[in-house]
Amino acid sequence: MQYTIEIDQELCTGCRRCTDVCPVGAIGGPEGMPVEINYDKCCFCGQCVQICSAYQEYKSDTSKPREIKIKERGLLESVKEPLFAAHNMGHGREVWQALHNPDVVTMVQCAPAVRVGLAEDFGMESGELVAGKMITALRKLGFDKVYDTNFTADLTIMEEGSELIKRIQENGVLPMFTSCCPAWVKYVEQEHFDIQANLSTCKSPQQMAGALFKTYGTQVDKIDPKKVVSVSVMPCTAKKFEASRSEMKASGCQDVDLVLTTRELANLIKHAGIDFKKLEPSQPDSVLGAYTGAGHIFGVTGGVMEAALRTGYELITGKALDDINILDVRYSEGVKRATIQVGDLAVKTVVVAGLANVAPILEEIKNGTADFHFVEVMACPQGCISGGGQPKVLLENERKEVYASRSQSMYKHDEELPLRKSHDNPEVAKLYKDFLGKPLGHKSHELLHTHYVRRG
Amino acid sequence: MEKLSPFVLGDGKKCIGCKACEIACHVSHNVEGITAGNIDTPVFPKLFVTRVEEVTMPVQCHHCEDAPCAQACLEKAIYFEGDKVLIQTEKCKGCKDCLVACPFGAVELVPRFTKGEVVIQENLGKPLLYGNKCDLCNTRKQGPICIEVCPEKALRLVEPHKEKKDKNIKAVATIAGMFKK
Repeated sequence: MQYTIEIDQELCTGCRRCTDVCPVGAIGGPEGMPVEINYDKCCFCGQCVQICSAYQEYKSDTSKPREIKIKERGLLESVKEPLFAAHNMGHGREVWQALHNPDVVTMVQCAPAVRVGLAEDFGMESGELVAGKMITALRKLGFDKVYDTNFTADLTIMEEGSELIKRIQENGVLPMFTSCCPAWVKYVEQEHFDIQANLSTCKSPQQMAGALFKTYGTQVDKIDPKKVVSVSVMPCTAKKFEASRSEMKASGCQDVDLVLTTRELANLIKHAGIDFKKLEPSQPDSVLGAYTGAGHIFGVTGGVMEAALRTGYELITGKALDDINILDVRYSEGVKRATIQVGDLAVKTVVVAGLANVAPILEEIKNGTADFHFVEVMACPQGCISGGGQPKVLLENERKEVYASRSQSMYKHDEELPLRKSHDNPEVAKLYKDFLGKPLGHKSHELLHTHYVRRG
Repeated sequence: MEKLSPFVLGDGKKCIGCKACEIACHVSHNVEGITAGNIDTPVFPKLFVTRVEEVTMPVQCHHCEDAPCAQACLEKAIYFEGDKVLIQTEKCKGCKDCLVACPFGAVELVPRFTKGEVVIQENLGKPLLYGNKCDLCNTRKQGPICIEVCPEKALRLVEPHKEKKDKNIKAVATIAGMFKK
């Protein structure tokens, strides 16, 4: 079986820095020996991939040479960067093949945080926003349809926001947790299945997009869904696992076929000989491409919460927010609580950044002291901008600054966009009008919502 | 008194063998950009994390006062610049005499790369090699990067005179303490 995260036993020096960053205690083994992953615990967040500095030396006497390891890891043969012990399975080769297969139609989506990280692998400034260049690069690579996960992030807000309001108004299970982070979802399924009813039933933006590509998308363009290879580009390694989940087949086939990390997209662009820095910016394709600032900030801790509040406030009160920048939910350094007045209702929120910080919140639910309504959980320390699939920061002493730049860039893009509330997204409105009906409606239920599975 | 050359020393009790120093060394000398995707050649560190039984630590140039590497170099490619022993890599012929002369194995012969491609000696069909060793991050204002990035603080810059003086003071302090009793 293909793994998502693995530690190469030949390259690991047993330094155990990965065990320190693993939020779920999944890495261990005897002192002084190469470490191993306990796959019953691992959530595939990829923080070990980010921290690992044990690399394969030049002409090292490992049993497998670099060329073999590159192939086994699913990397393109042109990849020049060093191979580290902790790594994720790559899908660059398969995507390259699909792009050169005349019998398939390729559709692609990119998550919000990809566009504030990708530039770094091309020697550009940390956090530099390359939203437009990224879209152009995807077209040059030969993707037939270039859509955007930011679009389905807006859609997620419509569904998840409606779900939260419904739970509050109809005495449903509260608090409700976000379900966009696949590592967090897997963690609940493994360790805390008793709170699974607290998880929003919304699929993540990646899976909503996947379900729509092969239904609405193919319908609009009159394409046979079976001919579509649906690719996503994610700052995340756990998204590879999420895409492969057996229930993610709302379209009748696997909704997302191949997942690339931000790093793998950079490799693909280099492999194709595209001069990324010189690309002119362009826009994603209609009908699944337009996005607002709210959808974009999904990529940083507190972003889903802020986006949901921007829309929830208007849906409930019928009035616009005085200040659309909800600073109270930003920059969580573990656990950040806030109370947001929405009409008569004081909505209590919690933003958890880093899976290791969620335990006390779950404890409050279990012992009955939880007084909050809505909790955002992201497994990675600062949300997706610090995800396991993002460009790997080489010097530990630069990490903090790099993440700060990425985060700043996320909010800057939000502020520069003409539309900043998910319900203002015209393509989302069109999607409901032409295809889905209404949020939480029958079609939404079929395509955009999911259920959870007990693991372990 | 002649000023003695400083050098970087690893602490085998603290080193965990993560090789963060090796990566930082290569990056600082060869890579523009902050992420792994910017590395387009094999990693050629100027210090070498080495494990013997239970102990792991990096080994690097001591900038020896008699610089056996420099004395062995027939091309006079190795020289003192102030208190640092440096290699003028363009002059290097790859004869390996420095490698043999060094008591620590602190010099490595590595292939030259330009724009991510290995430079081949056309008439020989072999990569062009040069001697590579610690230069104490000669051109870096803040000094050796390996010391900065070590997560265990297992590396330090030894400044021999200061080291000696500090130990003199410590020795006297110990004796003074004994008198007080």
